[in-house]
Amino acid sequence: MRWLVIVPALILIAVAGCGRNPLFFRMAADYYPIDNIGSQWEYSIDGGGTLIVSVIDQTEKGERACYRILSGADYTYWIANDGYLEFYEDHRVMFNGYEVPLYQAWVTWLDWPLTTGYSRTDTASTFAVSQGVTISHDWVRTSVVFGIETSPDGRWEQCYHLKQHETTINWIRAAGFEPETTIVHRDIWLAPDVGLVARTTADSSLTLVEYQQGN
Amino acid sequence: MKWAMILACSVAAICSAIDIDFSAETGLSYPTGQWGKSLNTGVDAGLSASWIVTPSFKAGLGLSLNVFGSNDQGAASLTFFKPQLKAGYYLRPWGKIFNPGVVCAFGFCRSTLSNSGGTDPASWDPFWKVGLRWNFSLGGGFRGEVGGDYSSIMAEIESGDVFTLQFGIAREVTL
Repeated sequence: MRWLVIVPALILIAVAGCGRNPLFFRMAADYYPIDNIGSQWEYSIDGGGTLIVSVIDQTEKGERACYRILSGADYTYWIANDGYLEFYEDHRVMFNGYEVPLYQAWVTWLDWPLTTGYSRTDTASTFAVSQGVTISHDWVRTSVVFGIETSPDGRWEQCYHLKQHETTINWIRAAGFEPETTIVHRDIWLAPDVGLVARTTADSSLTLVEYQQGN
Repeated sequence: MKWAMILACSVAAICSAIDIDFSAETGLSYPTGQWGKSLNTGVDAGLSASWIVTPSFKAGLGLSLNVFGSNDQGAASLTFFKPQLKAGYYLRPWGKIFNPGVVCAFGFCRSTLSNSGGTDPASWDPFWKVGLRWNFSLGGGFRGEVGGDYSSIMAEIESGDVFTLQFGIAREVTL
């Protein structure tokens, strides 16, 4: 009779003591669900204000079908696959009153599934000629998953905390111009089946207030 | 002296009666459910040793390993390591060509997910498995087996269910 107690107790101890975690839940979840038209995220901006992000429709960009997302007053373009998420990088610079396109391309934003310690780096090095002047453009973005956390506001569990470092160097190759370097560090929390729930940079902070899933 | 003789004879009788079935299995695993959406078909391999309790029934211990990769030539991999208790019941153990059976197993699964230089914390979860088998003779004391298994890893919040096509080879050894 003693074994009837000991064996289940040992099994329970083994299960409890062996580091269980909802791995399959995370794998099944969509951490950037931008493929439902009509989905809307409402963020509060630290210091005042609101940002509305909506999936508008499907369109074509760079000869590929994609989702068009309205983020504030700007459109962004995304492609959602089971294996990865792509973002249309559209880098431009103002020169002598003209907007000069420097780099337009589809770049993988994240590969699924995410894992703690995941890392990817994307780079571009190109140039454009405008009004007889060469403008060089160097860009590098590194994304690293820092860990699995609860969102900063404590509302969303099993979030992947992503740290992004993006460096852009634009250099107008003419007398009197120096390389212009922009460095942005972002902390992003992605929640399962919700997407971006918080983002902080050196000069702004966003927190998800409401999420409505589209069709 | 009499007790020693009885003991020796009993041990000899028990030992001579122990038939062990050593088997090796391999197969293809298909994730069922959303958890496998970014993974490709997996590969399964396992070893087991089972005591042939009766010609129809055997039970024993096994170890199996499953590996899944990304479905888009990515760097993701998911690994299952499963120590388990197994049992099988066969309807026609004398059948050379057709010996259908059912198998089941229970054990623990260590799941490890890696992608692009990162690894999620491993999870140890209980799992169960049931399957159907078509067992047949290969000659030379070997038997072959084909079949399908359905297994479920009972992880927190969401389980990981897998269908596996199995191919196996076994040899019965008398110890």
